[in-house]
Amino acid sequence: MKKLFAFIFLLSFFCNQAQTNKRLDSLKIILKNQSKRQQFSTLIAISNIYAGIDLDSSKIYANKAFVLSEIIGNDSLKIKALIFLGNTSWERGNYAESIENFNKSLTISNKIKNTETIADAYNGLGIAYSKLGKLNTSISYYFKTLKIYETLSDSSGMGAVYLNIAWDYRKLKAYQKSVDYNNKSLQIYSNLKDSLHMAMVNNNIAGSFNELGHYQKSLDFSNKSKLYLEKLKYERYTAYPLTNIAISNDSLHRYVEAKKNYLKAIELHTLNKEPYELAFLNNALANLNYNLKDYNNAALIGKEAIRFAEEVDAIEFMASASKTLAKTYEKLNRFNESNSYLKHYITYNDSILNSEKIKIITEIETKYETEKKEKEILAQRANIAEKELHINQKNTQLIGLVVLAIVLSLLGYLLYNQQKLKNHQLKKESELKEALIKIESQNKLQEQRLTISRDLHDNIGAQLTFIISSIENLQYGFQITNEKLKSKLTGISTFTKETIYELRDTIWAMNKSAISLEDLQVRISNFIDKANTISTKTVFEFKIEPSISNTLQFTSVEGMNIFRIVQEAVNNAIKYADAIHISVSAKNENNNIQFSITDNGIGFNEENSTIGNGLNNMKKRAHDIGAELSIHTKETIGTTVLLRL
Amino acid sequence: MGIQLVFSVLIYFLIIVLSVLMIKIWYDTLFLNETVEKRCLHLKADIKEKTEKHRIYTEHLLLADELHKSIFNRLFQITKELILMQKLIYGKRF
Repeated sequence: MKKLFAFIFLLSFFCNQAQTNKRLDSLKIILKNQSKRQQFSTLIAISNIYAGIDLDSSKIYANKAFVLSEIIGNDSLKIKALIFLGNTSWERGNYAESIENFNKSLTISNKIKNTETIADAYNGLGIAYSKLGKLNTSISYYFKTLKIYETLSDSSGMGAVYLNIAWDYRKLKAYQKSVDYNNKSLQIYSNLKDSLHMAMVNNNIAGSFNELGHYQKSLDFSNKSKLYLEKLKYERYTAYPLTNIAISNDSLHRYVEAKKNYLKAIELHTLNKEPYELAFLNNALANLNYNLKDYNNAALIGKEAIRFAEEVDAIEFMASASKTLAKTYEKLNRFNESNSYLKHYITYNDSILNSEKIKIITEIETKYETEKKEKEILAQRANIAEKELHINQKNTQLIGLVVLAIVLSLLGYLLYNQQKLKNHQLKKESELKEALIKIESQNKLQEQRLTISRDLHDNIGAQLTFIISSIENLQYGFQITNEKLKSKLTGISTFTKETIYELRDTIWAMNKSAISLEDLQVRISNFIDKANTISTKTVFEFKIEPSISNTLQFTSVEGMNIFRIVQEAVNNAIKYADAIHISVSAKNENNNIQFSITDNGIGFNEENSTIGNGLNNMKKRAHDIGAELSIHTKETIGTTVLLRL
Repeated sequence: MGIQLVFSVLIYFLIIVLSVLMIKIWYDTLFLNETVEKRCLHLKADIKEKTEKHRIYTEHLLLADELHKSIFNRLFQITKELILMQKLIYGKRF
């Protein structure tokens, strides 16, 4: 498991040694003559190159880059340097320092809201925590990273994160989940046609399948990985898929094939100088030889396994190799050596068991502490929930009180409004009633005055009739011969009759609330008929145009004044103008009603003549009803009186 | 806890009661407004009618006044004529 993990990170920093040194030298030379920003980029490039060959130098250059970024004062450069430092730290095994650097990077990234570098920092934290074995924390960081990469549609980043998650699940022995995430990663890298990563993912899947016991599937994936590496000419690193192929074949009892692959893998790891991998492989090969009953070779290879295991202090391989050697020497009847290796095996095993016991105790302690903390958390949560409930209750009460205050205010406002409205309406009503009473009292007073007037009119009418009757009796009873006296009596009688007519005309107008055009027409016609009987030589004509609406109505004053004006004009024409033809007409002119009284009499000179009482009265009456009166006359031709309403 | 709950319930009960009261007052105000408006309209119509009547009466009185002036003038004229006639009759005889 460890060997595969190491492979992924080693491979990512791999480069050709000779070319690397040459490039490093040239970068160091150009560094001296560069601006600060260029120097920063060069330092990062040098750190990056050293990451593959010398982690201490890589850290030194990354530190220099960070110091320079602080001098420049650029946050983006600081983040870049911190991420490099973080990566260098975990590669050197200093996980606490790595976490610190990534956290610093995360703080600055959050400050400048750079999502890409936030994702890089999360990913770095995930790797560091994964190395520390805090897999739950590391996986949570990986998922945060994944979310950001998904938002940024960064396929390459997503593939890398899936790969990291797959590794963590593999560490948690959740092999199927590991295969699932590896498959997701594989799909992305296939789309990107990234052969190197495809080789890595295929090998990881093969490893998981070996753990799940699917050896044939494991073989398929290992072969694919090997093929990709060969195509890329990374033949030295084909040791990893070869190891998986050997394990699969060994498990399938294809010992010859397995041996061939173990040997090839050992050869390549020897070139890479990797004692840990060699300890594992030699032990596995020793076991294989034991199974093939080649005890001498098994003993030799087993000793090699112990030598490599001692080199890296890998007790688990020392124990397993000692066990293999004990079994092998027993078969070779070399019991002393067998006994010795058996004792070694027991010692190593005890040591492992002790380590395991300590590990188990630590785990139990951790579990106990975790449970204790969980209980404390639960108690705190309960406490918080209770407080929240209390706060909620208070909030509810507060909201209730606020609402109550609002409702009360509204109620007060409504009551005030209602009262105000009541007062206003009562005032309005009383004002109206007062006005009504005032008008009614005025009307009553006027009614009384009119009643008195009517009584007076009746009396005057009777008196006038009596005068007329008395005069007529005088005229006919006493047979007056004096012409002057006769004429005087006739004059008084006529004048009295005219007074009665005037009285009747006014009573006619007073008995009507409104005078219609028809009423006026009848009244004027009657007057003309009467005039016609008095003045027989004069021809009268009276016409009203049909365009005037019959529904037209005048007030009693208007009706009376119109009638009086017509009457006065006709009388003037008969009395003074000596007219043969008098025409009275009414017509509609520009939405105004126009009465015209025309005669063909002698007329008069407007400039020389003084206006008499009759004409003045006519003008006054017209003015009283808001009408316009005009007189057009020419000597010997006639006169026209126009009344415009 | 119990007192708090009772207090909360009391507050919300008061809110409901006052809300109902508020709605009632609002409705009453509307009703009152409508009723008074109708009464005012009725009064206004009465006033309009009486005003019209008042106008007609005023016009009639105006006509009557005018008539009275004219009649008194005429009566004065008739009286004058009668006195003149009397003078004429008695002047000749005596």
